[in-house]
Amino acid sequence: MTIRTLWPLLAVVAVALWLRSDGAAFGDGPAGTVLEPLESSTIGTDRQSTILSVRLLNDQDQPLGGATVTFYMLTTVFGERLMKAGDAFTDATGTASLIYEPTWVGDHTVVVRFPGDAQNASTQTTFQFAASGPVPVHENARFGLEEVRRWLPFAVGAALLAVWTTLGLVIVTTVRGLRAATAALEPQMPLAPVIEPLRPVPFGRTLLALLALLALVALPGAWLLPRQWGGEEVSLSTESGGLTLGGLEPQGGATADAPQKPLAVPLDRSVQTMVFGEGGQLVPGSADLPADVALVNDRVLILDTNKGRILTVTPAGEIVPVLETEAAQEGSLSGATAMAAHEEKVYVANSTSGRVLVVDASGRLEEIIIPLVPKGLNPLTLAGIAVTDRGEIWLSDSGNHRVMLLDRRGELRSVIGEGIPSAGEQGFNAPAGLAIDRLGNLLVVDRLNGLVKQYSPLGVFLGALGEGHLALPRSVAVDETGRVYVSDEKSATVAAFGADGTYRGSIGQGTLQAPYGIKVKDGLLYVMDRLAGLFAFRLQADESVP
Amino acid sequence: MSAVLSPHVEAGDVREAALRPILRPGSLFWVTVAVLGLIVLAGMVAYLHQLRFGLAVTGLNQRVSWGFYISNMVFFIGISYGGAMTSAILRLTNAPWRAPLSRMAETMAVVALMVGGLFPIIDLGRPDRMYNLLLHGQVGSPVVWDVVAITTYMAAGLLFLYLPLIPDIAVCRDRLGPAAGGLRRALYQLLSVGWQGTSQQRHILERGITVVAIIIIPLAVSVHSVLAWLFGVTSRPGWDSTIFAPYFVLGAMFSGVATVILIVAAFRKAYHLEAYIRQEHFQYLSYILLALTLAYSYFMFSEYLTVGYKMHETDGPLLQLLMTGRLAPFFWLFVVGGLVLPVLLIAFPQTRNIPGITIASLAVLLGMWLKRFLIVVPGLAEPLMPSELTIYWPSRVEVAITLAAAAAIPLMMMLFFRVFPILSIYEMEEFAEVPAEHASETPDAEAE
Repeated sequence: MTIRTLWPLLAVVAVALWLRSDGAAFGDGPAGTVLEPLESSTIGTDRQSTILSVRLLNDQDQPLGGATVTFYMLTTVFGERLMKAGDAFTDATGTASLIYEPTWVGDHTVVVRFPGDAQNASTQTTFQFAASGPVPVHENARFGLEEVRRWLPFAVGAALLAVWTTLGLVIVTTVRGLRAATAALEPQMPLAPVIEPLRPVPFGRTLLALLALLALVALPGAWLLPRQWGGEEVSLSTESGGLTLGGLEPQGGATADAPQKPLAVPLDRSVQTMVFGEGGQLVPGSADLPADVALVNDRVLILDTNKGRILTVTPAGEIVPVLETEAAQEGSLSGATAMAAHEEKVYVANSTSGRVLVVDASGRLEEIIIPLVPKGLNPLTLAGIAVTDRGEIWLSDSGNHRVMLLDRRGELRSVIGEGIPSAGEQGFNAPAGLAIDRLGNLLVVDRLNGLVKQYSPLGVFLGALGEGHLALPRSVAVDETGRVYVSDEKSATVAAFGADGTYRGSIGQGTLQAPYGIKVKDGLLYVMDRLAGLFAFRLQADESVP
Repeated sequence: MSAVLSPHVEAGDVREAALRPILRPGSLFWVTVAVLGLIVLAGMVAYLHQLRFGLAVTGLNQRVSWGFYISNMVFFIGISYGGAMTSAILRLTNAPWRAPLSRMAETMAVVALMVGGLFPIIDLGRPDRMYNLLLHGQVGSPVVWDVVAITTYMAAGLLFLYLPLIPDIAVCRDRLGPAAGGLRRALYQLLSVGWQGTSQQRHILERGITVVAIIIIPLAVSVHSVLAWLFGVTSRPGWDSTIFAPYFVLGAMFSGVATVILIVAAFRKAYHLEAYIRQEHFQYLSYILLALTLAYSYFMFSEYLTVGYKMHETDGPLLQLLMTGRLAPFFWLFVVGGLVLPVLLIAFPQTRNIPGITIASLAVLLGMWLKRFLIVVPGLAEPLMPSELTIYWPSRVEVAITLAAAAAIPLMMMLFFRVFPILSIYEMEEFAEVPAEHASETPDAEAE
């Protein structure tokens, strides 16, 4: 037997070995590179996400910055599997973080891999965290009946084997039987007597020509088509500046990769809101994924979403709580993601409970407003809030694609939106942040349409801005001169627009990681970054330049 | 005269009719092949486009990862099941009127399964990683069950098509002779396995066909049950149901019988088989269709009543979405078009004729595709945690691939019948010899 006859077999073996080797390289390289897990924040009831963090050190025990690590979640429902959670870059301290939204309650095993590069070997690490919330509206099944499940594959396998055996026996016995019967006949009668042969229309060559035509046209055709032929370009990637935000993707008019024009806007000051200890865990007083900022009198208030608190910043730059709530209590702030200041009070919209909480500047809970609004197709999901001069409250209900005006008692005054996703003037696709300009007009972030829409106080559509410049907008703010600022989660920047709606550029590129709530006051643009902290940018007094 | 053949037709004419697509396909054949081929071509271009740019060119997203493609998989495998079941049950009950229909039903079963089985691969963003299923497959995963069940059913379906075809291939071998061309002659010679039609051979063949007919019924049930469990064991609104397996099996038979009627009507017209496939054939099938319509309506009512009465937190919005919300037009279109209209058309004698039954079947088929879509997509779009409802809208790529799949079934059947007889000569000649008292059971006159 020569090598020539064996080469197909060798090729198959080589391919199989190559396929088998895929994924087995982690940690197999030279020792030295280390991934240290940093303790992840434990999810509590009503919390929506956690931060997974690791630190990458090289063989000199020095932090390795600018490297990409990949986070995986171990799933065990149908056997052990690694489910990719996302990629993240390591910063100067070698730390890479990822916001992760758990989809089940209980223990989670995280696997983090660094694929290695020219200087550093590949490595991986594993750690765990527990998720006790958010309370899923649909419980995952707990698999029981261990004894039955152990034997079931064998029973099913046996049945399957029986079916295949029967099918095999049928074909073998039938074909052999028929052939044997023919062989027995052969001496007596000739095989296949042809009486007046019929002439079929030629077919084989036509079919071959047809197939050749298909191949000739299909292949170049597919390569000539532009990418957009399939419809609006929808990015399946959830990366955002090295962070996975999960959940939503821009649709319709939203621009997946909006062009950036960085503006030179000086950073006035910043406050680190999430503080990690030596082991990488959040220190006790630290915020946990804060979502919004509000300015009441001279106080800067921070909405600490995951811990259900409102914090303030001391003159020394420290953060201290002014109101702490428990998840289970009626006036809980857990899960709240938007707030607005009005008459020395702050109005907080809680997306989880669907309520509005009114808190004074000292942190006293004054009132709980329950919106008396018609039930939508989905649970009420409050994603933005703005309060008019008269104390009326605009709320955006992201789940039902509407923006509602309520009076002080929570009774509905008017509604914009169709209750279903829409791209029209009177419709939204997941409305989020709200703001009111100096004329009392309402600005609405139409999140998945990638726009900011403007309405008169009576709800008449006035115009839209941001087309082609916003990828996944979240919040909006407007300054005294009418300039509009929009935080964009996808590009991790704040987009600036002139009073006439023209795009001026982006703020915070390279500084911001996960910008969320924004506010403007006294020439400062406050940006609440869920990961990086609170930033205040000094805006130019000149109206033409942000 | 016989129960199968028309009073005006002699048994010997069956061969001429069955070989008609091979001998005289007609100019319409090439026009139809060209049109269907172009639709398939467009689908191939779309798939290659998807292969090049990934699933980003589809409307699928993070939450709705099963859109048109998985709806199509359930739909096409369902109609395959209907074809196999119709033929197998009628064969086992020895219903003589099945003879002119069985070949088309069995071919449709195999072709639809081939098309439906492609959709899980099309739904993969990286089909080159299919090997992971073999290298790292888990016996506890319904996806693995699905692959095993479809493969087994495909083997049985091919056997179920091939065995009754053996005597007819022998007819091709003998009647077409050297004029058939080298390749085709070799094919006939190989596949006819020396069939001479002796009583011993008939006995062997009948035994094999009966065994496969018995096996294919539970196999087809298992295939569609596994498809149902793919949804039923997943914790999603609208899928958490214990009756999903029988519900899917019934739905598959429902759409499958409708497809058999449509296919039979189309080929009957195209190849002038009116003498062999008569109004009573359609009427018998329509009675089955009527029974299945009522049974499916009952299952659906039972499903929605129990869910709607409790209105759990996740099921409530889903039901509202279907019955009064954004998807209500599609849902009620299915109810009226796919359930009520067919019942009315079949129930009244005035419309229980070939055009009426064909329209009813078309309505059932379109309605059942819609129903599959309404099972697959809203269950995924509905969030499990407080969040926005995800919107899924198919892209041109998905639409083109879906249309190509629908066109591929008649196209492949037409090409198949260019090589193999469209009618089961063996069975029709067999039944042509039945005693005259059976003939009196069928109407004498054509009511068309």
